[in-house]
Amino acid sequence: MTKETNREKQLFTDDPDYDLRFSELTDEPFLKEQLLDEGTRVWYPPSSESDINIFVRNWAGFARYNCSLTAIYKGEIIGMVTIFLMPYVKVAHLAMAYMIVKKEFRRKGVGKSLLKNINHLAKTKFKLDSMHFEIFEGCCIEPLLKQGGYKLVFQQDNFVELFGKLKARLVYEMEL
Amino acid sequence: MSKEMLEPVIRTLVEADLYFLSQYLMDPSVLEYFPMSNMSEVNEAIKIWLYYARKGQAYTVEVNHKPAGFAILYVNTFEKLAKQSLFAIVVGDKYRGKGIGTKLIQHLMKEAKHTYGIINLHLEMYEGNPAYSLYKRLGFKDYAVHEKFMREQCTEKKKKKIQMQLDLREIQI
Repeated sequence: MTKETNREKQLFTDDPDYDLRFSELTDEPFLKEQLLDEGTRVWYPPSSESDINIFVRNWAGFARYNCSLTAIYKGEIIGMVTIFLMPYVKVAHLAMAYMIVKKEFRRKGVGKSLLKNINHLAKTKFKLDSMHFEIFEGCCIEPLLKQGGYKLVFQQDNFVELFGKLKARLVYEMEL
Repeated sequence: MSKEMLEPVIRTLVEADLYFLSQYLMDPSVLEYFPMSNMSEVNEAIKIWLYYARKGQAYTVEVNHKPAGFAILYVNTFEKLAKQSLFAIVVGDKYRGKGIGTKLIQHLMKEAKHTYGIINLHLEMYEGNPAYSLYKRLGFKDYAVHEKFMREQCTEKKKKKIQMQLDLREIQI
Protein backbone atom coordinates (compact mmCIF):
# COMPACT_ATOMS: atom_id res chain seq x y z
CA MET A 1 0.00 0.00 0.00
CA THR A 2 1.45 3.38 -0.97
CA LYS A 3 1.65 6.42 1.28
CA GLU A 4 -0.84 8.12 -1.03
CA THR A 5 -3.34 5.28 -0.53
CA ASN A 6 -2.81 5.41 3.21
CA ARG A 7 -3.55 9.12 3.23
CA GLU A 8 -6.71 8.51 1.22
CA LYS A 9 -7.81 5.71 3.54
CA GLN A 10 -7.55 8.04 6.51
CA LEU A 11 -9.06 10.99 4.74
CA PHE A 12 -12.68 10.35 5.48
CA THR A 13 -12.36 8.92 8.92
CA ASP A 14 -10.06 11.54 10.39
CA ASP A 15 -10.01 14.53 8.12
CA PRO A 16 -11.73 17.52 9.74
CA ASP A 17 -12.95 18.56 6.28
CA TYR A 18 -15.16 15.48 6.10
CA ASP A 19 -18.47 15.72 7.86
CA LEU A 20 -21.97 14.34 7.93
CA ARG A 21 -25.10 16.43 8.39
CA PHE A 22 -28.82 15.91 8.03
CA SER A 23 -29.84 16.22 4.41
CA GLU A 24 -31.70 19.28 3.26
CA LEU A 25 -34.30 19.71 0.53
CA THR A 26 -31.73 21.80 -1.29
CA ASP A 27 -29.51 18.70 -1.70
CA GLU A 28 -31.80 17.57 -4.53
CA PRO A 29 -29.55 18.96 -7.33
CA PHE A 30 -26.70 16.81 -6.03
CA LEU A 31 -28.82 13.69 -6.54
CA LYS A 32 -29.83 14.79 -10.00
CA GLU A 33 -26.26 15.55 -11.00
CA GLN A 34 -25.14 12.05 -9.95
CA LEU A 35 -27.97 10.31 -11.76
CA LEU A 36 -27.37 12.23 -14.96
CA ASP A 37 -24.17 10.21 -15.18
CA GLU A 38 -25.13 7.12 -17.17
CA GLY A 39 -22.72 4.81 -15.38
CA THR A 40 -24.28 5.73 -12.05
CA ARG A 41 -27.89 5.87 -13.25
CA VAL A 42 -27.83 2.30 -14.48
CA TRP A 43 -27.94 1.06 -10.88
CA TYR A 44 -30.93 3.19 -9.90
CA PRO A 45 -34.56 3.02 -11.10
CA PRO A 46 -34.65 6.07 -13.45
CA SER A 47 -33.94 5.65 -17.14
CA SER A 48 -34.53 9.13 -18.59
CA GLU A 49 -34.08 12.69 -17.34
CA SER A 50 -37.78 12.99 -16.64
CA ASP A 51 -37.56 9.78 -14.57
CA ILE A 52 -34.65 11.33 -12.69
CA ASN A 53 -36.69 14.43 -11.87
CA ILE A 54 -39.50 12.32 -10.38
CA PHE A 55 -37.12 10.04 -8.51
CA VAL A 56 -34.91 12.72 -6.95
CA ARG A 57 -37.91 14.84 -5.92
CA ASN A 58 -39.22 11.85 -4.00
CA TRP A 59 -35.81 10.93 -2.56
CA ALA A 60 -34.82 14.43 -1.47
CA GLY A 61 -38.28 14.98 0.02
CA PHE A 62 -37.46 12.61 2.88
CA ALA A 63 -35.06 15.27 4.19
CA ARG A 64 -38.16 16.82 5.80
CA TYR A 65 -38.19 14.00 8.35
CA ASN A 66 -34.49 14.13 9.26
CA CYS A 67 -34.11 10.55 8.05
CA SER A 68 -31.42 11.35 5.53
CA LEU A 69 -27.70 12.05 5.89
CA THR A 70 -25.43 13.96 3.57
CA ALA A 71 -21.66 13.54 3.45
CA ILE A 72 -19.66 16.71 2.95
CA TYR A 73 -16.01 17.14 2.06
CA LYS A 74 -14.53 20.62 2.04
CA GLY A 75 -18.01 22.07 1.87
CA GLU A 76 -19.03 19.97 -1.15
CA ILE A 77 -21.68 17.25 -1.08
CA ILE A 78 -20.10 13.90 -1.89
CA GLY A 79 -22.71 11.38 -0.80
CA MET A 80 -26.15 10.82 0.59
CA VAL A 81 -28.09 8.03 2.29
CA THR A 82 -31.79 8.14 3.03
CA ILE A 83 -34.33 6.04 4.86
CA PHE A 84 -37.53 5.82 2.83
CA LEU A 85 -39.87 5.79 5.80
CA MET A 86 -42.99 3.67 5.39
CA PRO A 87 -46.28 5.55 5.20
CA TYR A 88 -48.34 2.99 7.15
CA VAL A 89 -48.20 2.23 10.88
CA LYS A 90 -48.34 -1.56 10.45
CA VAL A 91 -45.10 -1.56 8.46
CA ALA A 92 -43.40 1.42 10.09
CA HIS A 93 -40.97 -0.82 12.02
CA LEU A 94 -38.93 -1.36 8.87
CA ALA A 95 -37.83 0.67 5.87
CA MET A 96 -35.86 0.66 2.69
CA ALA A 97 -32.85 2.91 2.16
CA TYR A 98 -31.01 4.33 -0.83
CA MET A 99 -27.41 5.49 -0.95
CA ILE A 100 -25.30 7.33 -3.49
CA VAL A 101 -21.67 8.43 -3.42
CA LYS A 102 -20.11 10.79 -5.92
CA LYS A 103 -18.02 8.84 -8.40
CA GLU A 104 -14.67 10.46 -7.53
CA PHE A 105 -15.17 9.73 -3.83
CA ARG A 106 -16.00 6.03 -4.06
CA ARG A 107 -13.80 3.40 -2.42
CA LYS A 108 -12.65 5.88 0.21
CA GLY A 109 -14.86 4.81 3.09
CA VAL A 110 -17.66 7.31 2.46
CA GLY A 111 -20.24 4.58 1.86
CA LYS A 112 -19.13 2.75 4.98
CA SER A 113 -19.43 5.93 7.02
CA LEU A 114 -22.88 6.72 5.62
CA LEU A 115 -24.09 3.17 6.20
CA LYS A 116 -22.86 3.03 9.79
CA ASN A 117 -24.49 6.35 10.65
CA ILE A 118 -27.80 5.69 8.91
CA ASN A 119 -28.04 2.34 10.72
CA HIS A 120 -27.56 4.18 13.99
CA LEU A 121 -30.14 6.82 13.08
CA ALA A 122 -32.64 4.16 12.00
CA LYS A 123 -32.24 2.28 15.25
CA THR A 124 -32.06 5.10 17.75
CA LYS A 125 -34.26 7.84 16.31
CA PHE A 126 -36.76 5.91 14.20
CA LYS A 127 -36.75 2.74 16.34
CA LEU A 128 -36.67 0.57 13.24
CA ASP A 129 -36.31 -3.19 13.72
CA SER A 130 -34.72 -3.68 10.33
CA MET A 131 -33.64 -1.82 7.25
CA HIS A 132 -33.12 -3.05 3.72
CA PHE A 133 -31.56 -1.96 0.47
CA GLU A 134 -32.95 -2.96 -2.90
CA ILE A 135 -30.23 -3.18 -5.51
CA PHE A 136 -29.92 -4.50 -9.03
CA GLU A 137 -27.87 -7.59 -9.82
CA GLY A 138 -24.25 -6.59 -10.38
CA CYS A 139 -24.41 -3.31 -8.46
CA CYS A 140 -21.06 -2.33 -6.94
CA ILE A 141 -22.61 -1.51 -3.55
CA GLU A 142 -23.17 -5.22 -2.83
CA PRO A 143 -19.77 -5.88 -1.13
CA LEU A 144 -20.25 -2.78 1.03
CA LEU A 145 -23.62 -4.02 2.24
CA LYS A 146 -22.24 -7.48 3.00
CA GLN A 147 -19.29 -5.97 4.84
CA GLY A 148 -21.69 -3.76 6.78
CA GLY A 149 -23.63 -6.78 8.07
CA TYR A 150 -26.50 -6.80 5.57
CA LYS A 151 -27.69 -10.18 4.38
CA LEU A 152 -29.34 -11.15 1.12
CA VAL A 153 -32.93 -12.00 2.10
CA PHE A 154 -34.29 -12.60 -1.37
CA GLN A 155 -33.89 -11.95 -5.04
CA GLN A 156 -36.47 -11.48 -7.75
CA ASP A 157 -35.37 -12.52 -11.22
CA ASN A 158 -36.49 -10.77 -14.42
CA PHE A 159 -37.05 -7.49 -12.61
CA VAL A 160 -34.96 -4.89 -14.37
CA GLU A 161 -33.69 -4.52 -17.91
CA LEU A 162 -29.96 -3.74 -17.88
CA PHE A 163 -27.63 -3.87 -20.84
CA GLY A 164 -30.38 -5.50 -22.92
CA LYS A 165 -30.97 -8.33 -20.44
CA LEU A 166 -33.41 -8.94 -17.63
CA LYS A 167 -31.61 -8.92 -14.29
CA ALA A 168 -32.63 -9.55 -10.72
CA ARG A 169 -33.57 -7.25 -7.89
CA LEU A 170 -31.65 -8.16 -4.74
CA VAL A 171 -32.85 -7.24 -1.27
CA TYR A 172 -30.25 -6.94 1.47
CA GLU A 173 -31.52 -6.52 4.99
CA MET A 174 -30.12 -6.04 8.46
CA GLU A 175 -31.80 -6.53 11.80
CA LEU A 176 -31.02 -3.42 13.79
CA MET B 1 -72.67 -17.88 -10.25
CA SER B 2 -76.15 -17.58 -8.71
CA LYS B 3 -79.17 -17.03 -11.00
CA GLU B 4 -79.67 -13.47 -9.77
CA MET B 5 -76.16 -12.41 -10.76
CA LEU B 6 -75.46 -11.10 -14.21
CA GLU B 7 -72.14 -11.90 -15.84
CA PRO B 8 -69.43 -9.70 -14.26
CA VAL B 9 -68.25 -6.82 -16.42
CA ILE B 10 -64.74 -5.39 -16.11
CA ARG B 11 -64.04 -1.77 -16.99
CA THR B 12 -61.58 0.97 -16.08
CA LEU B 13 -61.96 2.27 -12.54
CA VAL B 14 -63.54 5.73 -12.35
CA GLU B 15 -63.59 8.22 -9.51
CA ALA B 16 -67.20 7.41 -8.70
CA ASP B 17 -66.07 3.88 -7.71
CA LEU B 18 -63.79 5.11 -4.97
CA TYR B 19 -66.53 5.13 -2.34
CA PHE B 20 -66.95 1.39 -2.84
CA LEU B 21 -63.21 0.83 -2.92
CA SER B 22 -62.78 2.57 0.42
CA GLN B 23 -65.68 0.59 1.89
CA TYR B 24 -64.16 -2.70 0.76
CA LEU B 25 -60.69 -1.74 1.98
CA MET B 26 -62.05 -0.70 5.38
CA ASP B 27 -63.72 -4.10 5.83
CA PRO B 28 -61.71 -5.68 8.69
CA SER B 29 -61.46 -8.97 6.78
CA VAL B 30 -59.69 -7.08 3.97
CA LEU B 31 -57.73 -4.58 6.04
CA GLU B 32 -56.17 -7.46 7.96
CA TYR B 33 -54.19 -8.34 4.84
CA PHE B 34 -53.26 -4.83 3.73
CA PRO B 35 -50.67 -2.53 5.30
CA MET B 36 -53.19 0.24 5.96
CA SER B 37 -54.84 0.33 9.36
CA ASN B 38 -57.34 3.20 9.41
CA MET B 39 -59.42 5.51 7.22
CA SER B 40 -56.69 8.09 6.94
CA GLU B 41 -54.21 5.49 5.61
CA VAL B 42 -56.85 4.00 3.33
CA ASN B 43 -57.48 7.47 1.91
CA GLU B 44 -53.77 7.80 1.16
CA ALA B 45 -53.83 4.41 -0.59
CA ILE B 46 -56.87 5.48 -2.59
CA LYS B 47 -54.96 8.47 -3.95
CA ILE B 48 -52.53 5.97 -5.44
CA TRP B 49 -55.40 3.96 -6.95
CA LEU B 50 -56.77 7.14 -8.45
CA TYR B 51 -53.39 8.02 -9.95
CA TYR B 52 -53.26 4.65 -11.74
CA ALA B 53 -56.96 4.79 -12.63
CA ARG B 54 -56.34 8.04 -14.50
CA LYS B 55 -53.75 6.21 -16.57
CA GLY B 56 -56.24 3.39 -17.24
CA GLN B 57 -54.32 0.97 -15.02
CA ALA B 58 -56.95 0.31 -12.36
CA TYR B 59 -60.07 -1.71 -12.99
CA THR B 60 -63.53 -2.26 -11.58
CA VAL B 61 -65.51 -5.44 -11.88
CA GLU B 62 -69.23 -4.82 -11.83
CA VAL B 63 -71.86 -7.34 -10.88
CA ASN B 64 -75.45 -6.34 -11.44
CA HIS B 65 -74.20 -2.83 -12.23
CA LYS B 66 -72.49 -2.46 -8.85
CA PRO B 67 -68.75 -2.47 -8.15
CA ALA B 68 -67.93 -5.90 -6.76
CA GLY B 69 -64.15 -5.70 -6.82
CA PHE B 70 -61.13 -3.76 -7.96
CA ALA B 71 -57.68 -4.36 -9.34
CA ILE B 72 -54.65 -2.16 -9.82
CA LEU B 73 -51.67 -2.71 -12.07
CA TYR B 74 -48.72 -0.65 -10.91
CA VAL B 75 -47.18 -0.21 -14.36
CA ASN B 76 -43.77 1.37 -13.95
CA THR B 77 -43.08 4.37 -16.14
CA PHE B 78 -39.32 3.97 -15.77
CA GLU B 79 -38.22 2.19 -18.92
CA LYS B 80 -35.80 -0.24 -17.32
CA LEU B 81 -38.52 -1.40 -14.91
CA ALA B 82 -41.29 -1.57 -17.48
CA LYS B 83 -41.13 -5.34 -17.99
CA GLN B 84 -42.40 -6.06 -14.49
CA SER B 85 -45.44 -4.96 -12.59
CA LEU B 86 -46.86 -5.40 -9.16
CA PHE B 87 -50.63 -5.71 -8.81
CA ALA B 88 -53.29 -5.89 -6.11
CA ILE B 89 -56.95 -6.88 -6.03
CA VAL B 90 -59.81 -6.29 -3.62
CA VAL B 91 -63.15 -8.12 -3.76
CA GLY B 92 -66.17 -7.12 -1.69
CA ASP B 93 -67.14 -9.57 1.02
CA LYS B 94 -70.46 -10.65 -0.49
CA TYR B 95 -68.90 -11.24 -3.90
CA ARG B 96 -66.18 -13.62 -2.76
CA GLY B 97 -66.13 -17.27 -3.81
CA LYS B 98 -67.94 -16.49 -7.05
CA GLY B 99 -65.04 -16.35 -9.48
CA ILE B 100 -64.75 -12.56 -9.39
CA GLY B 101 -61.11 -12.61 -8.25
CA THR B 102 -60.22 -15.11 -10.98
CA LYS B 103 -61.82 -12.91 -13.64
CA LEU B 104 -60.05 -9.82 -12.35
CA ILE B 105 -56.64 -11.47 -12.33
CA GLN B 106 -57.14 -12.99 -15.77
CA HIS B 107 -58.06 -9.53 -17.01
CA LEU B 108 -54.91 -8.11 -15.40
CA MET B 109 -52.80 -10.82 -17.02
CA LYS B 110 -54.18 -9.93 -20.47
CA GLU B 111 -53.73 -6.20 -19.94
CA ALA B 112 -50.24 -6.67 -18.51
CA LYS B 113 -49.09 -8.94 -21.30
CA HIS B 114 -50.79 -7.47 -24.35
CA THR B 115 -51.27 -3.77 -23.53
CA TYR B 116 -48.14 -3.11 -21.48
CA GLY B 117 -45.70 -5.80 -22.63
CA ILE B 118 -45.06 -6.98 -19.10
CA ILE B 119 -43.15 -10.21 -18.60
CA ASN B 120 -43.05 -10.50 -14.84
CA LEU B 121 -46.39 -10.00 -13.10
CA HIS B 122 -46.02 -10.15 -9.35
CA LEU B 123 -47.84 -9.63 -6.09
CA GLU B 124 -47.23 -9.18 -2.40
CA MET B 125 -49.52 -10.70 0.20
CA TYR B 126 -49.42 -11.24 3.91
CA GLU B 127 -49.32 -14.49 5.78
CA GLY B 128 -52.73 -16.11 6.14
CA ASN B 129 -54.36 -14.32 3.19
CA PRO B 130 -57.05 -16.68 1.89
CA ALA B 131 -56.38 -15.51 -1.69
CA TYR B 132 -53.11 -17.48 -1.67
CA SER B 133 -54.78 -20.57 -3.16
CA LEU B 134 -56.33 -18.45 -5.92
CA TYR B 135 -52.93 -17.06 -6.89
CA LYS B 136 -51.44 -20.57 -6.85
CA ARG B 137 -54.25 -21.88 -9.03
CA LEU B 138 -53.61 -19.14 -11.57
CA GLY B 139 -49.95 -20.12 -11.82
CA PHE B 140 -48.22 -17.66 -9.50
CA LYS B 141 -45.19 -19.07 -7.72
CA ASP B 142 -43.60 -17.97 -4.47
CA TYR B 143 -40.26 -16.28 -5.05
CA ALA B 144 -39.59 -14.73 -1.67
CA VAL B 145 -40.71 -14.41 1.90
CA HIS B 146 -39.93 -11.21 3.75
CA GLU B 147 -40.05 -12.11 7.43
CA LYS B 148 -41.61 -9.88 10.11
CA PHE B 149 -42.90 -7.41 7.55
CA MET B 150 -46.29 -6.35 8.88
CA ARG B 151 -47.18 -5.84 12.51
CA GLU B 152 -50.64 -6.96 13.61
CA GLN B 153 -52.25 -4.14 15.52
CA CYS B 154 -53.81 -6.12 18.36
CA THR B 155 -51.23 -8.81 19.01
CA GLU B 156 -48.05 -7.05 17.81
CA LYS B 157 -47.26 -10.31 16.00
CA LYS B 158 -45.28 -9.69 12.86
CA LYS B 159 -46.55 -11.35 9.71
CA LYS B 160 -44.51 -12.50 6.76
CA LYS B 161 -44.86 -10.84 3.40
CA ILE B 162 -45.13 -13.55 0.77
CA GLN B 163 -44.16 -12.54 -2.73
CA MET B 164 -45.32 -14.41 -5.81
CA GLN B 165 -44.74 -13.95 -9.50
CA LEU B 166 -45.80 -15.26 -12.87
CA ASP B 167 -43.79 -15.21 -16.08
CA LEU B 168 -46.37 -14.11 -18.64
CA ARG B 169 -44.25 -15.50 -21.48
CA GLU B 170 -45.08 -18.95 -20.19
CA ILE B 171 -48.84 -18.64 -20.40
CA GLN B 172 -51.33 -18.37 -23.23
CA ILE B 173 -53.93 -15.75 -22.43
